[in-house]
Amino acid sequence: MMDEIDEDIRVALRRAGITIPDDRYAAMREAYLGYRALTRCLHEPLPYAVEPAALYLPERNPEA
Amino acid sequence: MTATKDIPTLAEASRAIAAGALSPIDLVDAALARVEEHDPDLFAFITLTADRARAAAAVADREIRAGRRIGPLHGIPFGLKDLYDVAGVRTTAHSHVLVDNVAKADSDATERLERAGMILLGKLATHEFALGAPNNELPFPCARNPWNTDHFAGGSSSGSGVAVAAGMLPLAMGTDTGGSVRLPAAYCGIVGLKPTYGRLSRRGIVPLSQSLDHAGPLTRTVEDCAMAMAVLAGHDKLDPSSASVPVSDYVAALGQGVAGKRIGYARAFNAEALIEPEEVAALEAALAVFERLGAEIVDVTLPSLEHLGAVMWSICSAEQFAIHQQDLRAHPHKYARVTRERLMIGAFVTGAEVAQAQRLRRVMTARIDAVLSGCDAILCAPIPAAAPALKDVDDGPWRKAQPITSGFNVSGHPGLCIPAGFAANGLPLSLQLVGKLFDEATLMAIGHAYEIEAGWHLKRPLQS
Repeated sequence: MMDEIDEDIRVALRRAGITIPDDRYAAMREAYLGYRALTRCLHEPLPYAVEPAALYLPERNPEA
Repeated sequence: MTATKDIPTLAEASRAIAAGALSPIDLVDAALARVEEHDPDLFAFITLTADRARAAAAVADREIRAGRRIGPLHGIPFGLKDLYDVAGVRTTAHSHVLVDNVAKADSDATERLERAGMILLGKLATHEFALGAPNNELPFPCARNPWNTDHFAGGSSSGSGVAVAAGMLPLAMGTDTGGSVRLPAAYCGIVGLKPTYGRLSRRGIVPLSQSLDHAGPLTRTVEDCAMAMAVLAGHDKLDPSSASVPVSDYVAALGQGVAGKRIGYARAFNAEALIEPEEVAALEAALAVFERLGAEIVDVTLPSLEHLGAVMWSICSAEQFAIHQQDLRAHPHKYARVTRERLMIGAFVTGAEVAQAQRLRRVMTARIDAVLSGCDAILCAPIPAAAPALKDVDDGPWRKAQPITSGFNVSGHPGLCIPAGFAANGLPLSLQLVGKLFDEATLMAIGHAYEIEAGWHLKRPLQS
């Protein structure tokens, strides 16, 4: 039976336009769960003032 | 076949050519002979440009004899990871997807090295698109570690690490998105530098993740690394990520030494990364060397691997999927299974995660900057242990342990890997020094002082 995780994976793959062979589904499901676990902290609250730009601005000239 | 020897380092070759004791023709022939002897077992090269190299060596020989030596690298061979473009030569990214792709123009690195008089010997093996893992589905074999061919050479700049470690080349260029210059350097027992983001142009290099990709050199010594960086560094107006920052005299700066410098030791970072006792012992022995040389050691605390990893793998997964999505839809079978599956993880990333990761990225970078305001360099482990056996390399879509080098791709700080001893099984160990943004000069000066004192770079594989 399809659970919530399988449904999330199905939707993500459909939106991306890619498919996973049946024999690799279990490994990709594990990868999905690994990614979700690693990035859990990205869903924690981050106050507006902590970093207001939301842009990656690498240091261009520290002497300027 | 006569047994060959390591070809000289950049510094040794440069001095010998300047003194008239070595000709570019003899040097290129020696490099090709070394490749002929060892590459059938090591698979460092995808494309050997032997005719082009011999022709360039003949020209360099004439020029130098006529008193028109361009500079210290004139007449010395180099190699490029097969992601770097060379006009008229194929760039395959070690993939069936690009196996017939012939470049129309040179990469910035190709231009700079050839303008300095260096001679391209060939294009080098990589993990497919700088992402996959060793496997048998690719159009070319995967590179093997010259210290023990049953062990991992590191990646993704595997051919670059192997060719330099095996004494086929004194300099090979790699790319580093999560550690791909530093890891093969560490596992093969050589020097690898991931410079500051923006320090080296990425123009003409097949991208993996644009905001994390760095170009970088692999060499046998830190002195050679400085000589290469003297040519490679500089603003490229055709690469929007290239920084317009003055370039230091890296070779002259090597003489700074380490006396009076502060080295921050990231003890907790190493503990969080589950570094094995042999690698910890190598780092602590290095601390003793730094203290003996007059450095002060201070404990420092880096951002957690959990936060750095979350930022790294959300951004990297999204950017690499964006690059490969059309090919993944049109002909997924052209990728090896491991590459295809790792790319597909990008389909799971949400927009909110990438936006939040970019914010956290700035926070993490500021924290590392704050650490470096209190010391000249950070010492930490680049690898948890010596190279694993090839049969034990994780080729699943989600790696159980992510590379611990990747935090400095997130922050953009320069990282330098240097040989730091040997494990009980005879394979190299390594240390990583991380420096202030755009201060590669200090980083290499500290590394050079350690290297000379420790002497690990003098032990070589494949000595007959």
